[in-house]
Amino acid sequence: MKKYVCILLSLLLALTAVSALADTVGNADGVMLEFWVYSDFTQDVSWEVMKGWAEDFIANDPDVTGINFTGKNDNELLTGLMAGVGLPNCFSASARDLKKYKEAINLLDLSDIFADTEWSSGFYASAINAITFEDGVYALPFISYIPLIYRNLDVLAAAGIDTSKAPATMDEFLAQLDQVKASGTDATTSWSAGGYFCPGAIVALDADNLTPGIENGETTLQAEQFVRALETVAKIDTYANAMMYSDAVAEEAFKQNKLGFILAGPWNNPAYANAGTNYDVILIPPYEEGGRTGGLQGWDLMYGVTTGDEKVDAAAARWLKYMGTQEAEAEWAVKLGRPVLREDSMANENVTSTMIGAVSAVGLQGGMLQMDFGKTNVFWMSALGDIAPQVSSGAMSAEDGAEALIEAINDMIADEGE
Amino acid sequence: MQAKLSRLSPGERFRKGIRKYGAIYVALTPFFILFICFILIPMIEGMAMSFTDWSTSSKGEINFVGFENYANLFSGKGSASKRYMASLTNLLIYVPITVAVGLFIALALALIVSQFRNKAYNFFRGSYFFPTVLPLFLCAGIWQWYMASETGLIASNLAKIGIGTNTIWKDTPGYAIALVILIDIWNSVGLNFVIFSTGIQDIPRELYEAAEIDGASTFKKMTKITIPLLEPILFFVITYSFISALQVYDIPWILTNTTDINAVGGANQVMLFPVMEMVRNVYKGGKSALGRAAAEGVILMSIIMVITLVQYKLRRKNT
Repeated sequence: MKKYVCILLSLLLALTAVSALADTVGNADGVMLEFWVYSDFTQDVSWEVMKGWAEDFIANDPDVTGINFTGKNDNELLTGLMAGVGLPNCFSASARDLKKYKEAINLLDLSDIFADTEWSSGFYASAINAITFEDGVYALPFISYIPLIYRNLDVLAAAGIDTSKAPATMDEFLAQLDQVKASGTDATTSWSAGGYFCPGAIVALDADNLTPGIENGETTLQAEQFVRALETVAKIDTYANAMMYSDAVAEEAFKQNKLGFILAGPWNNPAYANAGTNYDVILIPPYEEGGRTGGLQGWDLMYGVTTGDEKVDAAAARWLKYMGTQEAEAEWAVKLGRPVLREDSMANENVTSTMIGAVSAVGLQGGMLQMDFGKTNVFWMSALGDIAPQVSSGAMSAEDGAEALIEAINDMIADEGE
Repeated sequence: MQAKLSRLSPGERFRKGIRKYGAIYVALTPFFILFICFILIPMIEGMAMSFTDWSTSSKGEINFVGFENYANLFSGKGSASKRYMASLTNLLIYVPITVAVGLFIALALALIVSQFRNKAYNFFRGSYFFPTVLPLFLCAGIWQWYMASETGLIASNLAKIGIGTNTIWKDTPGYAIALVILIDIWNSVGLNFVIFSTGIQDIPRELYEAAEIDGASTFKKMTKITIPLLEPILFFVITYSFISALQVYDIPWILTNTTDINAVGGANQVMLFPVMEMVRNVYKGGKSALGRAAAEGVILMSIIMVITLVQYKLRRKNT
């Protein structure tokens, strides 16, 4: 028995060695790209799309023999990349960490591909602005998202609400919340609990009045700029049940017609669609009719890493350019139901004909950026996650909450040394 | 023999020692190599790095900053310090309750179940041990459903008696730690229960029989025979429970799972503990992040060492 096990193990070792050798010899003349992606890119529809792109790209690029996808979550990506050892050729990661990556590793300068204006003019101007530094262009704008209000149309109809049009103002929205609650069904989840996502969406309505920036180690934001938003979150919470927007139980409640409204991301759409729920999505209503709306925009970018080998770096840049084409990003938006950072892709009729695509395309025009991507490491919005629950619970007034928020943001700036 | 050995030269003593204990040293070598490579060196390196401004940036320099990381952590200034102090406060509440309640339940269950025999004993032992073999993420998931206010099986019933009405347990001060304690005890009590049960089974039956002849009640037998003879096991379980509780991480990390690294530990750090804050610093990266994380690790290690030493001293004094 021992003899057979020994032979089996030896064979396995030999096979591994031979395949590794074959891999090396096979790639001697071609480029094998290593691509670190979010774990979910290697699953289901995302993987089908990514795989299709890779096959098409390899078939048309004589220098590239293969692309190896490695799935990693956000934190793994950040620590793995910043450790600086065994870096990939390309990776996808949040735009929030753009400045950190720029400072920590040798990102690939993509100025050459962005010089092709026919290709690069299709991106949102804000995205181009974020990735452009004095010494080059360092990322490919890829995915974006804005918070969406999912409306359970059956619950709303039962409460006597006309669902043919979205509430035009925040006051109308509050009135509808009141109507749903009065009908005996939970109107919504808490908008103060669960982090910055919900209160941030409300703060973004005041984007035109906000003055984000850092001067002398302190924020240029003013406390009074947040009072209205904190008051609004507290008002919404008077109609809320004791669930967070991100709770699985809240998702189930919505699916089972026990919840009128839930704020969520575009990634939640498949769950509701597959459950057969009668719903639609709308943007966060503005304070005044026709006012600013869109919520907070989050972005994910694609990055390249300089290896020092021109052939490899050029291949990585070409792969990034391929993924950034109007067709590719539009395909992503349609098949994944996720908004992208190409304005021309979001205007594509295949995208606008989808519910998420149509609403997101409008929202991305007015949505406020989560932070000054690429220019700071301070994700100040996250301080809202601590303050909003205290204001909603009555532990502090909106004015005191706004002061505490400014203090918390200054603490974050001090920690980052900016 | 002593006198004879002392007349040997150091070289002879060494050779004699090698002849006598050589095989044992050889057998222990793999352990020492692994211990040195994977525990001792990283530990010393971690301690050394806590005195530097080590950041996650592979381009950044590493400079010696003395006790700056430690001073900053306890300064109360900046979000990192405020978060760390909050994590220590939470730990101060969490550890004594978890250890005391967890041990009490495990011991009580072991004492009760040990009264049963054969099938009943095996059934209860298996049932109580079951949560321990469940993956922690599953435990956290199950309890999130139980504790969902209004609809959760347990939370909704607690609300009926006035506990946690309209409360998001994992987001509310006090309730959040209670939730972690609840899950942790549910998950860990089985292991301590099995250890206690095994210890009880090892106590000679004759002692109980003798006590019965002397007319001792069940309570007397428990307090005068079972618990004193369980002392070595109790000591082990208490020490182990303290060390585990001080390093609490996975359950609250899962409960407050978020893509926003600044929000680890929930709103207002209601569920933040030192190991989570350490990991957050590593993932967050940035200025002095790894140096600060190392300092937090050294502080936690010191707390564990002190508590363990106190337990040893107290045990020695009592025995």
